[in-house]
Amino acid sequence: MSAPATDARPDAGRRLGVRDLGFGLGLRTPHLRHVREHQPRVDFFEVVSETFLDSHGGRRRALDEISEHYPVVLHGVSLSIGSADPLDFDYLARLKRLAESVRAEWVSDHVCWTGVLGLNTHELLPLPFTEESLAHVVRRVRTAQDFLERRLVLENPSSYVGFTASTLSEWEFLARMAEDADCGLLLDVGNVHVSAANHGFDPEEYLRALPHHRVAQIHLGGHRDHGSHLADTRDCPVADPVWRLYRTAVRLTGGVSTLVEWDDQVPLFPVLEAELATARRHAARAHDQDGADA
Amino acid sequence: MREDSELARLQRWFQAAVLAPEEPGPETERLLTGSDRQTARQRLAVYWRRYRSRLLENMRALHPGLVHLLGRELFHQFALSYLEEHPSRARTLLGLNERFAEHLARTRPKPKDTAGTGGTGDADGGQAWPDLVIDMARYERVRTEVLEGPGAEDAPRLRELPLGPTGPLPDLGLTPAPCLRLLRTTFPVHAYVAAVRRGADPLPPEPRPTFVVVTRHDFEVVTREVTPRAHATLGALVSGATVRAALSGLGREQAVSWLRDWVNSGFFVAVTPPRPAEPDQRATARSPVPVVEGTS
Repeated sequence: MSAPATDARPDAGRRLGVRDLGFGLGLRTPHLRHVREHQPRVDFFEVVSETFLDSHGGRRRALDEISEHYPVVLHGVSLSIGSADPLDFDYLARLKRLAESVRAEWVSDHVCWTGVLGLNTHELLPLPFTEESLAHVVRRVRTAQDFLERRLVLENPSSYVGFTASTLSEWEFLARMAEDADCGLLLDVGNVHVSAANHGFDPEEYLRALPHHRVAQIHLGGHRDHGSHLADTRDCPVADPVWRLYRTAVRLTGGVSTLVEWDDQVPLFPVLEAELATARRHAARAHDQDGADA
Repeated sequence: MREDSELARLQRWFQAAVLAPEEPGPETERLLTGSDRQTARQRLAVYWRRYRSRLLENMRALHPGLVHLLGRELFHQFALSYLEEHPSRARTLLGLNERFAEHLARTRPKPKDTAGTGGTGDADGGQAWPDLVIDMARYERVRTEVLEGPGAEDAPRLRELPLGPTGPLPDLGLTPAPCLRLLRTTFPVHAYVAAVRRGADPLPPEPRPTFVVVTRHDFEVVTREVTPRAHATLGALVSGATVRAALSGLGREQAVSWLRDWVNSGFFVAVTPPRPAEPDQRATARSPVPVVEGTS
């Protein structure tokens, strides 16, 4: 199997103790065979943790094989870090085993909750941005990090509703959470665009306000305009306004591991590779602009 | 976190609103904000719809045969009824349909729910349709368990049994592969599901007591129909009966032929020495492999 396209040197671009892995793709089940057989030149792969937590079949075997040849990061959807329910240590133990097994470079999830009273809606539900929520999330991030023995990287989810109780902006909440809990941020610029449109805030202000040294990874994905709101669907190419935000994010962070997500109506692998090539071009353009400004 | 905290109360309310069969109620406007283009209720309804859409998509992926049999709309009715009664408690979606067949068996979808879907339902006034639906849900769940659960790919292969040319069968037990499942159904649903998965458009099957073994070979699910006698014998073996006890009453040639076939097919992965317990105790001492009863 060929080496990743970028030489991810052990100390290159290291921040928060993790490497800058370059440009990666979300690895989805329809592409497992292609990746094993064709060894595409992708810097790293991200997998949805829950897809593999209970899998002992061919899918898991494929991941084990792929992780022998590519850096892998885990991206979860069920940590439910903001839930009022107790942390699920059984889930965390399984997550830890999976991360160790595939030598995950880092483990990420979302700043959200997915259920209470023992239920799991499997939806990334929004948090009210209050001091109470912030203290709760910070406590739980610290506990989870201690258990996992690694820093968590947490993503801003897209959101479709706000709470009258909120007293903080989303970016204030994220910034304080990251600093107080000493965790990393996964900046999904597509989600920033979607939430900005849905809530009427300035996405550039959002990006500027984040603690850039805590951004360990950037996500890019497609969205749809439903007229009444934008939806983070990740079933289509990244839109131009999101590429613009991406360039801003690259300039502000200095460039970090970037990943293209495509979760629904998953296209043939070359379509994803083309999208990744586009991401590389935008990142290079942002760096060029940065150099010219300097 | 305290149960009476603001966050806990808000989350309990939000979750109840998302899970409720009806769309959000009037208190929504007090707790949530609207936008330029949507009221607070319309915004909450986005989550209400996304929750259902995601879970139905996953249920469809787990039950392609049932979706084909019922059509998407009717399948959604059944799946939503199930999800309302059994909201997910698992961290992953593989267990989403864990109790679907059980739910269908308890609620037994009525013939009027399946009117116009053709085949068996029309031939007998729809009386057999609930059994067909339950059978198919059960088979597709077993299939998922076999596909995703522990297998025997990495286990040392059991090559041969110590079967001499003559004499009694050995007083040994057999360890079943962890992915081995035995299923009895009222309809040959496995053939229907296989056809759907191949992209065919099969007619609904007619009722016929069916006995199958579902297992996995090289990470692919293998389903094999067997005779009722072979099924019962396999059931005895996986329950811990010795080879000699399980196959007693069969001619030696037939017994040896079956054993060799089952070992070659990977149904069993190891030989275990006889245990000191009496045969009737052994039969209930171990049941590592579920024998899934159908609706017959």
